[in-house]
This record gives sequence, structure tokens and C-alpha cells, in this order.
Amino acid sequence: MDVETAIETRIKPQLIKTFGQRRANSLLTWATIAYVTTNGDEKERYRAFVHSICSDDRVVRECGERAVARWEEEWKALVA
Amino acid sequence: MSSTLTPLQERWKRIVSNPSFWILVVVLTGTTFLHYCTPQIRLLASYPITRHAAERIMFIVAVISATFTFGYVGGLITLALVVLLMLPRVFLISLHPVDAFVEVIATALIGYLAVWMLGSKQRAVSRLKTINAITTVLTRSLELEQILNDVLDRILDVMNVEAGAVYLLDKEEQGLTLVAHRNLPAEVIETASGLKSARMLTRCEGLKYQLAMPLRSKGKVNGLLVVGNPKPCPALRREVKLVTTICNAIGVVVENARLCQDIARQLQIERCVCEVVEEITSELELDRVIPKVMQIAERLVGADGGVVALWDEERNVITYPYLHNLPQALAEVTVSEGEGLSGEVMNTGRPIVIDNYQTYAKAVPAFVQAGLTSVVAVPIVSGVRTFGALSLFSINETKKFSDRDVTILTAIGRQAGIAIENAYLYENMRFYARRITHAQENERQRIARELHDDTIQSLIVLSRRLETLAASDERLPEAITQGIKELRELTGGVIQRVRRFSQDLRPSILDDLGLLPALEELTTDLNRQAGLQAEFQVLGTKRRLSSEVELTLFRIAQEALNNVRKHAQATRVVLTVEFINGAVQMTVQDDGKGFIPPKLTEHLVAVGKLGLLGMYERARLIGGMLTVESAPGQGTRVIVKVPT
Amino acid sequence: MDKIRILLADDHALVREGTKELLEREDDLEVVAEAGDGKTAVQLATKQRPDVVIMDFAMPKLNGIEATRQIKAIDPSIAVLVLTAYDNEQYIFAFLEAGAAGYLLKDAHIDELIKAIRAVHAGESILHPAIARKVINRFARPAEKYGKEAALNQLTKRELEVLKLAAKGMSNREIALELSISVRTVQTHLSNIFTKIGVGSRIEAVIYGLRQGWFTLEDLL
Repeated sequence: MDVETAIETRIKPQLIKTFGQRRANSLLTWATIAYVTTNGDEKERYRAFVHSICSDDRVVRECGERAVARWEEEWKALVA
Repeated sequence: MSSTLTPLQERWKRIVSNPSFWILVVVLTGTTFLHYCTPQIRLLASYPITRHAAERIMFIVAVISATFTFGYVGGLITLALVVLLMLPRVFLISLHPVDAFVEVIATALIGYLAVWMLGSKQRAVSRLKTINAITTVLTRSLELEQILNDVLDRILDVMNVEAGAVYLLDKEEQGLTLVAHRNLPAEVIETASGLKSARMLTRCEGLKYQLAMPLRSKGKVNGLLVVGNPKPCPALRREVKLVTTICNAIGVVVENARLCQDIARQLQIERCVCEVVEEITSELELDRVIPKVMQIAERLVGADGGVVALWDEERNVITYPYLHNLPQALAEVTVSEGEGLSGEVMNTGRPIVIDNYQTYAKAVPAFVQAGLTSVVAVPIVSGVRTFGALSLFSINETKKFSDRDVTILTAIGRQAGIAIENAYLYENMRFYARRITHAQENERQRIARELHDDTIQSLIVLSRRLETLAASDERLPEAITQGIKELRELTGGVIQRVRRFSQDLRPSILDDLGLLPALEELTTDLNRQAGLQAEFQVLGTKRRLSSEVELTLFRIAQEALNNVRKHAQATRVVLTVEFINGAVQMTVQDDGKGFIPPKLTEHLVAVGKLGLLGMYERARLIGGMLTVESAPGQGTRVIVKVPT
Repeated sequence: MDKIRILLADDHALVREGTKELLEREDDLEVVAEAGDGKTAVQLATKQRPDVVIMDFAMPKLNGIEATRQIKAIDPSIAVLVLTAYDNEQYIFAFLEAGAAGYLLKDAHIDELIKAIRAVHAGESILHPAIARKVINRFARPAEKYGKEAALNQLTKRELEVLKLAAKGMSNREIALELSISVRTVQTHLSNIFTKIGVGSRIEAVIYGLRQGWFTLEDLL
């Protein structure tokens, strides 16, 4: 699927469910900044996006490394 | 005027119109001509410079001047041209082609070195100039949007790029906002979500070749700059450092502008809180203070309305006596302890923000019906006592109350608590004053009555008995009759004194004959004793009033006339009683020296006018109002108006 | 000669008894009833129709002034003497407005009381001249054309003259001398006046005249 669909249908809902609207917004904002400022093609940008979320300290602390790593893998796989 | 020239044609036009270009052409032509001229003109014979050397120097000079005028590229073009011009001679004319070729190479190298050095320096200078120019724009004003648009224009111009955008990070990192843009496709500009817009931008055809940099201030990111071109643009790669510097400058400016906004908002908040404090300390009437405080709070946080819930100690319920922009019927609603949002806030002593009241578990049905969505509630406390809760709401679903709103409201809640505590204390004080006044009057009356009914009567009886005694037997010795006579006189004297004392305590005229004769007596007395010209007048239809009202008015008149006698230095005083529909108004007006009455009756205590305060309180006790009008040198007027 | 019939009203039994005893020593005075409160006083006055009522001002159930008003409403010819602890102007005005014939201080000598009873019964004034002056000032009305004319609707010319002189403060004897008639005639005139205008005493008649505008302050100077 394309980036926007992935974000809208999978990543964003998951974040809101786990962290609430406010924190989700915050994570998505930083991820977008990473996405935009990464040099490379769409896929590389998207990977930077996902990585930004999954390497956030609080996210890892609250959800555990394993769960977060799984998310990262899952989400990265969404966009071919 | 529409320009149909391409950028290239534009540039050519610019070059051609530059006089330096033509000078260069002349120099090159001339030097070439000299270079190829067979006659060996010996220039500067005394100097060891050969003609060839001179020509080569001229060529290099031409290259250097071209670099100055037209930049690195221009310099290179000219260098290439010079080499081309020199080569034919090498191959066609020169006697020593190899040497000549080496000379050409040497010239070319020297020329290139010159171009390169000059070019770099020029580029550095041009970068500094750009930064300068941009910094000037940035520091021109604090109008953020204006600045960012100007800066974006400059950047696009300097780097020769077509499209660009500036996004700023939202407050509390909740998203990005597109603040400035040039030549972006409509869909990017019109997307509601800044994040989506930024992501879309990276996929735009118009910015296929792009550079995106974060704006920073003190190392923290506060925005994004994205510039791009549909066609490849070398400047984008080359000028990364320049763009980074600019982005940092922008970042700092953005932060400054934001800080200024914050300060302005903070000042405004502080001003509002000051207003609240002023309101609270200038009034002891809860019914006036609380609504005002609520309105100020609403303004501060942008709420649509509010309610103040108070704990009713007597009935053990929570009531909602103060409502703003809510149906008045809610004032009748009561809930038990701990119920509802107010109850929860009062129990926990902590503020609560509800995103949607409609789905709140402890919502009070009546308030749910009113359509509240976002609600923020803070406790009203003073010291350790919780009096109630201040709740502000919005009917707009998208309105969210922030942490700052909570902080402000908590402060206001504390102020409201102080106001309520003061009002209660004052109310208590007045209650006790009332009780004491009643007790005092009752006691006075009791004593006066006893003196009158019991003591004086007994004395009269005694007097009569003595009379009987004296008249009973005429054969009493002279001494005894004389003695009895003296006793009677003594008794008479005692009766007089007791009578006067009893009158001072509680004038019987008031009880026996009513207010008007009693007031008339007061003025007559004043006339007699104090040498004042005192007048008494009655306006309107006379009627009797309740004994409490008559007594109060009498005491107020007594105090007022006393004041006139003691302080006013007046010559004339008029006591007027006017009966009007549903009320009676009593006025004491003197032509004495006057004084400056304090603005608020609560200050009467402070200025030592306890008598006035007493009068004021007495009037209030019977539901009336007392006003004092006075100015130095203009006499004094005390007006009491009481509903009947 | 008929005894003057007196009603004593005072809430202090001791005072009543004392006074009664002293009054009955006089031949021409007779105490026909005693009342201990205002209401009883009115009831007994209605039943017994005394000539003079000695009324203590401060009484339970109905105070002296109110009782006076009621008694006068029932039978204006009864003369009410108020016994008061205060001779304050305001009280005097209040008594007279209620229709009293006069007042006495409570600690007055019994002789004064006896004298007052007799005087009132004879239509004489018992007010001190100074007080009388004040009363006239208070009740007098400004000159009115019709007032004086209306007087003759109720009184004869002679009666009006007598009343005017009484208002001036003259005693019966002085009036007799002034008009060259006998004291007895003066008394008769006064008696007729009282009956015609429905009052029981001299001061009431004077006040009535003042109120009606039959004579003004100027007339009485």
C-alpha cells in the first residue's frame, strides 16, 4: 500500500489506541520531520518515518523492546 | 507585462547590457590582434618584457576581469575562449610549436588558478551577502508570516529554485503548520493536516529535486524548510551549508517571535488575574463578586459559560447558585456530596478536565441536557476549607482546555475561595452584630420598662402614702409633718431622676406615641440644648410602621443628630421623613463643615466612623439602604430608605 | 348636687386604691368604676357613662391614648383626664389629639387631681397657659374665608364669642367680665357649645374651633 494509507489505517490508530491522541500527534509530527528531511526515495523516507516512532525512548520504555521491534518490522513491510 | 523570454535569454540580455562585457570584448579582440600581428612591435624596449608576455598578461587580465564581472562561470568561459584564440597561432604561425603550446598551457593554468581563487572568494562573499540580506529581513519585524514569506523568496532567488515551503512546529508538538509557500500545487496548500501536506510535498513533481532542512533554535527543531526544483539544480547540493546557516537564523527568529507572543499572552493573563483580585477585594457581596469572577475566567480560557457550585452546610447538598449562559432552572438542582463533576473536584481537591461531558460517567443529567462538551473544573479553596467548585465549559466539540488554562483557573479558584471566606466572615460578623444589637435593645427596653412600671410606680405609691400619712391626722407634731413633707420632696426628686434615666435608655415617646412624635422630640431637644436651628418635617401620608423599623429609624436619627451636634459645626439641621409608595425615606441634612465619605462602607471602620457604620448596619438589618453625601465645606446629608 | 361620677383606670391596683380612697374623701366626688387595663376602661365607660375618666396612660391591652380615642368615639361628652409620667410636649399633643380634656402628672398632689376634676367638669381649662399657647400654635390653621362663616352654622354668635375668649386663655370669670354676663351664663354657653360640637371639655372645643378655622392665631393674639 502507499505511505499515506499505511499511516492512516495502521500506524496512526495503533498509536492513538496505545498512547492517546496527544502523544500520538507528537510522535507523528517528529516522524514526519524525519520523513521530509531524509534524502532518498519514498521508501527510504517511509522507513525513516517508522524508525523515528519506534526509536522514541518513551515508546520503547512503555511498550517493551520486543513489541516495538515487531511494530517496526510490521509497519515497514506495509510499504513495498 | 508578460515576459516570453526563458531564464537563459534573460541572463543573456543582462550580460549584453553590461558595459564591462563590451570592454572585455574589445580587450580580447585587441589582444588577439596583437598576438597574431607579424610585425614585432617592441613595447617598452627598456624593460625585459617581451611582446608575447605582454599579450599573455593581457589575456589573463581579461580572464580575471571576466571572473569579477560574470563570476566563476564567466571566467571559465573567457578562459576557454582565450585558449581557443591562442591555439591557432601555436599550430599555424609559431616557429617553436612545442614551446608555444607549453606557453598556452601555462597561461591556461595560471588563468584557471586565478578564476578558481577569485571564484571561491566571490562565492564566499556572495554567501555572506545573502546571509546578511536574509538576516536583515528576519530582524526587520516580528511579523512571523511576513518574514517567512520574504525569506523564502530570497532563498528561492539566491539559489535559483522555483518552489519552496516553510512549516512551523505546532505548540506542544501536535503537528506542523504551513506558514509560507511559493509555487506549490493546490492540494499541498489545501490539506488540513500539516503533516500530510509536508509528506505530500516531498512527492511533488515541482520539487523533484529538493532540499529539506529543519529550522533550529538552540539545537531544538521548531520547523521545516523545503525548497525544490522540477529540474536538476546544482546549487541545491552546493549550498547546503548556506541553507543550514539560514535555517538556524530562521529557527531563532521563529522562537523569538513565539516567545514574544507568549510574553504578550502571559501579560494579558496576569492582567486578567489582577482584575480578578481587584474585583474580589473590592466587594464583599458574593452575589456581585462571583459572577464577575466567572466572566473574567471565561474570557481568559475562551469558554462559553460557567457554573459555580457551592457546598450548602445546612442542607448537606451541593447547589449551583451561580450560572452563566446556562438555563436558570439549573439553579434549583442539588446533588449530594461527591456527586457530579463539582463533587468529584471538591472531594479530590484537584482540577479535572473533561473532553466530553456527554460521556462522563458522573455527569449530572440536567447539565448533560444543557449540551456541555468540554469542561474544566477547579476547586474553590481557602486554606483547608473547600467551598465549592468553579467549572467552565464549551459547547464546541473541538475546544480543548490546555494545561495552562487549568493553571490559571486554579489560581482564580483560590482567589474565589478567599472571596467566599471573607464574605462568610463578614456575614458572620454582621449576624453577630445583629444579634448583639437586638439583645442590647431588648435589655434597654426591659430595664426602662422595669424602671417605669415598677420602680417609678412604687415611688409614686410611696409619695401618695406619704401624702395620706400627712393628711391623716392633723394632730401630728410640726416636726413630723415637716419631715414627711421633706420625704415627699425627696421622693419627687428620685422619681424625676429615675424617669430621666429611663428615658435615656429607651425613650418612651417612641414606644408610646410612635416614630414621628419621637423624632419631633429629638429636634425640639436639639433646639433647646444645643442651640441649633433644628427642623422636623413630614412629607406624604403619615402612617405607622413596624416597631422594628420605627426603632431603627429612631436610633439612626439619634446617631445622625448626635453627629451633627458633636462634629458638624452646623447652624441648621433639617430632619425629614417622607412616606412614599412602599417605602419611607428619612433624611438628616446639615449645613456644617462636611467630610469626605469613604467609597465603600467597609472602609468606614478603617476611617474610624463606627457611628456611621452602625447606622449603615442598622439600616441593612431592616432591609434598607443608608447613603451619606458629603463634601468638605458643603454640609452633610444622611439618607435612609427602608421598604415597608 | 350630683356627685361627679368618676371612672378610675390604672393598672397598678395599689395606686388605684390609694387614689380612690383620697378622692372619696371629697363630698362631691364619687368613684363609680375601676379598670385595670385599657379595654376594661372602655367597656366600663360605655356601661357606666361617667362624667370624668381618670386614665393612666401606660396600661396593658390598650394604652391610654387609644382608650381615650375609643371612649370619645362612644360618648364625646365624657371628659378624659390622662395621668401621665411625662409631661413631654409630644405626649400632650398626642393626648389632646386623641380627645383628652387635659392631663396630669402621675406624681401630682391629690389636691391637684381633685381640683382638675372639678375644673374639667365645670368646663374650665386646666392647661398651663404656656402649654395652651403651644397647643393653639399647633392646631391653628391659616386664615380661611369660609372657616369663620361656617362657624355660625353650628354656634350662635354669642357662643362663638365665648369660645374665642376661652381660646384666648381667659377663665370663665374673665369671660363673664368681658362680655358683661354672669359666670353662670358663661358656663351654660360652654355647656351648649360642648353639646353642639360633641366634646366633653373646654380644650377639646378650642381645638375643634381651631381645626375648623373658626378663629386663627391672629384672632387670639
